[in-house]
Amino acid sequence: MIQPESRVDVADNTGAKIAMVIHVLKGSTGRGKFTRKMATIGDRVVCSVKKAMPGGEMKAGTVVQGVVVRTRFPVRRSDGSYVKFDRSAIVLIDPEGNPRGTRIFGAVARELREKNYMKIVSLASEVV
Amino acid sequence: MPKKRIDPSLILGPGSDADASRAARKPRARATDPKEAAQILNFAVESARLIHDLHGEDILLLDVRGLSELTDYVLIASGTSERQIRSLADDIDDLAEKTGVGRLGRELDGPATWVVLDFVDVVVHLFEPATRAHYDLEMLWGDAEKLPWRRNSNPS
Repeated sequence: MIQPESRVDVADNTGAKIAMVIHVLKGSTGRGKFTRKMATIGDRVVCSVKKAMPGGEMKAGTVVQGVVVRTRFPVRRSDGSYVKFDRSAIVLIDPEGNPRGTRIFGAVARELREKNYMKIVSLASEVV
Repeated sequence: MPKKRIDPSLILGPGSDADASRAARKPRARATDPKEAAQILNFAVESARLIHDLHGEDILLLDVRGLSELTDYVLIASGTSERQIRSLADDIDDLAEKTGVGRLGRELDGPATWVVLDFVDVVVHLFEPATRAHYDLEMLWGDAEKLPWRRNSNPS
């Protein structure tokens, strides 16, 4: 479960390393009240880059959108098993929904395929 | 009182369209039945030929069995314009419908620089040439075997 103020790893080669979630997208009332508090695998979040590699594309303080690809909180699967990771991680995406990086580090959850993030899955080295 | 959920196969009977589409949409690693595997390969090759007939460029059909847990065949091709890429995607969808291959997902961005069609055992990537060079999927699947997809030309 990812919520605002959560620190997450950035699992791609954009240069960003750590990001802080500032908003979970989707879920608001007609009066503009945001109702969604928690994000899980396959959800979009708005983040602020907190730590970045020197000379990379991303700088600390940049506000970006990302998709959650790993969570420490267990995610239940339809067969009754659970999947959880050591650390929560996101992959940065551009406004069109394409990954900003060209490679994704570490394993990503299979749930992304069902949530129509096949581009991220295609770039990942391992799918769990 | 909570509503009881009715299984569509009870109404339509086993082997109905709803049953088949649900089975086709269920993600799985690989087809185990040889007949089904042959049908999937045939669909991948026919898709490559269709892209060629519709003036798609740099068509690459890769066999990723044993390399990927997600799919068996990856088809990568380039289109020259947004309209052509969208049209290629629609035509492959039509071909899948005709051959009875279920589609799990279709992902495309606004300007259609990269379209992904997910048929579970076959994944089709349609790129604009600049985007293709940027993501360089060929390098990612460098170990995969390239499959021949061209039609045998008749000597005349």
